[in-house]
Amino acid sequence: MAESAPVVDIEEMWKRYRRHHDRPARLKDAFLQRVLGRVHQVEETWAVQDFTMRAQPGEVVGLIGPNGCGKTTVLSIVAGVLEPTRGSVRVEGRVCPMLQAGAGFHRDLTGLENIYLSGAILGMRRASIQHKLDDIVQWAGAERWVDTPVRTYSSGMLMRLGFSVAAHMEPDILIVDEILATGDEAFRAKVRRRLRQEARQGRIVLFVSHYMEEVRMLCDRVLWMAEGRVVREGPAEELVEDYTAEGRSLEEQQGGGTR
Amino acid sequence: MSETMTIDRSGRPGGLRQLPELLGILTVAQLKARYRRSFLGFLWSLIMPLFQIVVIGFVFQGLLQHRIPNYTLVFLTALLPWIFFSDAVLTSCPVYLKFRDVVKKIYFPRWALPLSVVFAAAVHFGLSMVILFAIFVVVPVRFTAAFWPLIPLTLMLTTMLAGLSLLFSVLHTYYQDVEYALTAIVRMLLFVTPVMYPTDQIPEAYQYWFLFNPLAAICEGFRSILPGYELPRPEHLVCAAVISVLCLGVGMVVFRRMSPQLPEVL
Repeated sequence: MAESAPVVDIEEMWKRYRRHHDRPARLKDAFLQRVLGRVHQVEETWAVQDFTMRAQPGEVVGLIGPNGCGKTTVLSIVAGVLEPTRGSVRVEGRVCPMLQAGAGFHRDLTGLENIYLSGAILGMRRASIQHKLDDIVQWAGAERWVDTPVRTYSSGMLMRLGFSVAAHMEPDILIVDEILATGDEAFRAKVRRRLRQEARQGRIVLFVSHYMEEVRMLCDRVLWMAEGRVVREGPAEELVEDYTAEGRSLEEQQGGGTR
Repeated sequence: MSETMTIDRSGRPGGLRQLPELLGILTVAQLKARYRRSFLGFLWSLIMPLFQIVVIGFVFQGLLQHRIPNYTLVFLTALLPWIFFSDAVLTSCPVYLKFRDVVKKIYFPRWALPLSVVFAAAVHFGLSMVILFAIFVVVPVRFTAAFWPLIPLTLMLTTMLAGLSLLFSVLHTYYQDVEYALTAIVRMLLFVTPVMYPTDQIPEAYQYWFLFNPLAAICEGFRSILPGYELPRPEHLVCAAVISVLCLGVGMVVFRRMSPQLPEVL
């Protein structure tokens, strides 16, 4: 646990993606474009617009909204992977993104080797990984298969192990982006308990899910996003109800959106 | 509208002390993953040069009737640093594509990835040098006892490769034909670098200029442990050192400029 309380403070943040319609993927194209003076089309999209969020220590904040509304972009910016185009972002504390099943794992290495690999990438010291190794394996229920290469794992096994590594990092800020989809109900309940417990210890949890039931159970507060903007913000119970009611039709309207 | 942006990430993970560990773990992961699914495993990195020696030795000695004493050793001493070079350059290209998921999701010192490729190649190189010395013990060949130049030469080569790997790994992520181009270039370089032949086999008029190729100077430098070979002249070594540092500098500058966009490009 950090000495100072974690902070996630985002103010009027904007994020623009440039979608290069024919971004030169090969040198030949880049060269031709330059020589022929052909301008390639760049389509600018504002993935996140005027986003403001302040999370308190001990809070579980949910982000809901249809595909492509900017949830993942927000989380990537908090994680430090992407830079915002405009606005101010203040993140204090160690951020730990929980990855989609198996991301960050090397498929030819064993589960055990991968614990070290992804632990190190997440910023853990070797000694502390070693120290927590048994806990990580046990929590994932992976005793029987940690010594086999990760490529033989089912997506559920990958997710268990991945989540367990991240959960044992003792981060200040946890990012959970739709990773539980492949877990069985027992494991999901276990994860929810874990996340609540993390929050109780003064950490910040940012949670994205399309399972509204889960959002309702877990989150204190929810931000409802659509087309890059926050449309509503409020207690989970209330927003989940309205979202579910509206969700079906909204989802259909937006159908086929990416990211 | 003015584009103002303030970012404050006070608690980024990984202090300075974590970095060597991260590099170490990544390097070991690369080494393990590379041979995990092959029966002979690490031995392949020794079989390949030996195989090359047999083939090229046959062509040069047998067919072309070149009479170079101890050709096998002459070839081998220069081949090992060469393999280090081509191995590091070519495997660093696709490294971000391989670790795509991680780079897109987690912030971590991204330069650690290409560098770990270079270190993994360096480990191979080190092990193959051990084999080379073992051969020296077995084959009754007198060799010059001064090995110390190998250390600065290896450092130069590693510095050069660190820069090139930073450069090519980001470039390849943008333009995926970098790897193809490099494969061709590396193959070509092999012929203008004195690997299969020592420099004294080329016309004397060219020898002086020839060694301004940094790789040539380094490969010839490795031969200086063999009797009859000396270190290239100081100006050649200085040139190699300068180019190594230059590679590192260019690599770092390009990496700095292009790497923040990596997660969006991937």
